[in-house]
Amino acid sequence: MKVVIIGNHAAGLSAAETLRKLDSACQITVISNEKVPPYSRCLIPYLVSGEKTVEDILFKPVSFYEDNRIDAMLGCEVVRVLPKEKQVLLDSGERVAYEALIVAAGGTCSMPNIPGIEKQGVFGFRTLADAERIAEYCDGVDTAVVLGGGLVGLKAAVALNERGKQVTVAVGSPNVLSQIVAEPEAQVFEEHLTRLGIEIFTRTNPAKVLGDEKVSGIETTEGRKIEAQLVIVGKGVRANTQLVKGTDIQAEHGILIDEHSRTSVPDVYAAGDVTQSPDTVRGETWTNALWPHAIEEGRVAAENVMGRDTVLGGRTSMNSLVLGGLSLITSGLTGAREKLEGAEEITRKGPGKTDCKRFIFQGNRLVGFALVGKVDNAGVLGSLVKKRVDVAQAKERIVAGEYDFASMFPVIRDNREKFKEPEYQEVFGFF
Amino acid sequence: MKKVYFDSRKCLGCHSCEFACAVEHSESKEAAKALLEEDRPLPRRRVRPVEGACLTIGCRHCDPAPCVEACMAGAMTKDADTGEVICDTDKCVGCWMCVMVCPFGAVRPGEVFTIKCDMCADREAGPVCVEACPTGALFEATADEFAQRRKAREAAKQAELKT
Ligand SMILES: Cc1cc2nc3c(=O)[nH]c(=O)nc-3n(C[C@H](O)[C@H](O)[C@H](O)COP(=O)(O)OP(=O)(O)OC[C@H]3O[C@@H](n4cnc5c(N)ncnc54)[C@H](O)[C@@H]3O)c2cc1C
Repeated sequence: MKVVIIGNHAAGLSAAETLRKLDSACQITVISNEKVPPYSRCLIPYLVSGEKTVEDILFKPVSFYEDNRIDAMLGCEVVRVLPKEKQVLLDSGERVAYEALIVAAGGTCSMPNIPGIEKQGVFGFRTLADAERIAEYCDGVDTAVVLGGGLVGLKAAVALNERGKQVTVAVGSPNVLSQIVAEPEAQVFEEHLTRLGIEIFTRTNPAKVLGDEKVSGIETTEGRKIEAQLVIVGKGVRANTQLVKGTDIQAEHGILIDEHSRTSVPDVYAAGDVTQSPDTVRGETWTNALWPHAIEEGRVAAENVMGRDTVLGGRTSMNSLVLGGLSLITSGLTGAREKLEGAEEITRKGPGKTDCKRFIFQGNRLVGFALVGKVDNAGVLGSLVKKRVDVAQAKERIVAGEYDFASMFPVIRDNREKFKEPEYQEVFGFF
Repeated sequence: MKKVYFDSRKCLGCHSCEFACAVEHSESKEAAKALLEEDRPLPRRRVRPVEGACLTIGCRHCDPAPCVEACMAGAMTKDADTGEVICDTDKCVGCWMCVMVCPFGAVRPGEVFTIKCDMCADREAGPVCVEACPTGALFEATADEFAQRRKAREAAKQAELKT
């Protein structure tokens, strides 16, 4: 069996590792345009803050390809997938044949289409190369603007702040993190970031980037000028679907996959940020560009390539974020704009100043939660969300913050048909 | 691989396992001193009441392990030979992705690093919780041994019901 994987990050390497674990003989080729050791993209903020080196942020050993006997074609760009010929076309003109293909090409920073965006000192925040260029450019820079108040934007802002820069965040929405939290949690974070010395402007969109060759600031759509010698763009990520354009491989916001990580074309699988995959809470496919989903989709794709009948578990949006010591974990439908029919939201503040919890119920189901401050046991709640469990009997306990495994055990036991994993059986068996 | 299993019928709810675990994972490894340490040692296992009985829960060393798949630092790994899920605290960045996905709440946020059961790796005699349990409610077993015990228990339960 000859398997080709496009992409050498979370999804691609998870697939490669699984393939090798299941089959010592198959031929595995990983193609990526990033010529890098297996670093974790999520940890690039630590390169910018200066806390860590590239070596510190590797999530697999440098010898990963060798250890797993993988033919690594790094520094090669795939231009197009040719499913009819069962080949992928590289920018060099070379074609690489496959029997099974796993597209794990991830996403690319969306850059706003505004005048001056190409100036020196304006960076996306996605790759090791981005982080290294930013870290280098940082010397001699005092002021920075981050465009976007999402997870990536705020991580960039905190990293620059830790490096001693004066940072302003320009957020288009009325609040930071609006994709994953609502006002109560957002306010806690805005106050926290302000205390760290980061300035936040909400409802603020850039109209142009100022400066000659090098950036000197931005001008907002309302005409306000914000000085900045460095600009980082955190305005979301676009799935790299262009690779399959014009083929029978269906894509919307991402390449559509089913619960087996299969695309619409036989022998072509996709995994990670490039996909639009089943979301069991939303009941439709969704682009949840998340590390754990990328790893799982990569593994499931590989297992199915190898003829195992494996499916993705219950899944939905989830995030864990720690900014300057303040933690947030969310799961399910928690965004500011996510208004659900008949949903009931309950917010609880305290005991600490920054502690805040919000629970969203729809009928007897918990469809989302956001925890700020104390995040212990978030995974127990998360399993109730993604498995769509009837929590009627436990609602009061949940809202009171009593959702450790033992407190939720009666609900879990009463819904045991949804908790089939052997680890649950171990607990049921002797209770 | 051996794991630590739990039989609720034998549990008195005495918290000995919890206490021994905290002490074992303290700086001094001595009960009297551990309580006074600046970073209060946290147990990797917790005992909680459920419907008049008790449940003690620690890491199940799942397969596949959600915390391993969620770890974006490459700190959480599953040992291919022993099946143990281990957190490398040198690599852990405290992002709590593992806390977000642990279905048992057995992977906890510490001050800096993730805190979870390490099967008492430094301890030749094996997991201290098993040793500390006065009733044998906690026991070490392979999956097969566990299945056998479970069957025996089920049979005993049936017999009990008949009399
Ligand atoms: C700063 C930052 C922080 C983050 N923090 C978190 C977090 O806390 N939690 C979380 O869940 N997620 C986080 N993420 C998101 C997480 O990094 C992604 O979900 C994950 O990287 C997805 O992995 P992937 O393999 O699907 O795609 P990618 O990581 O995008 O990798 C795709 C690979 O494919 C290659 N490729 C793309 N196109 C081509 C082509 N045409 N030819 C050849 N190769 C190609 C790319 O170079 C890349 O190496 C963060 C991301 C960033 C940038």
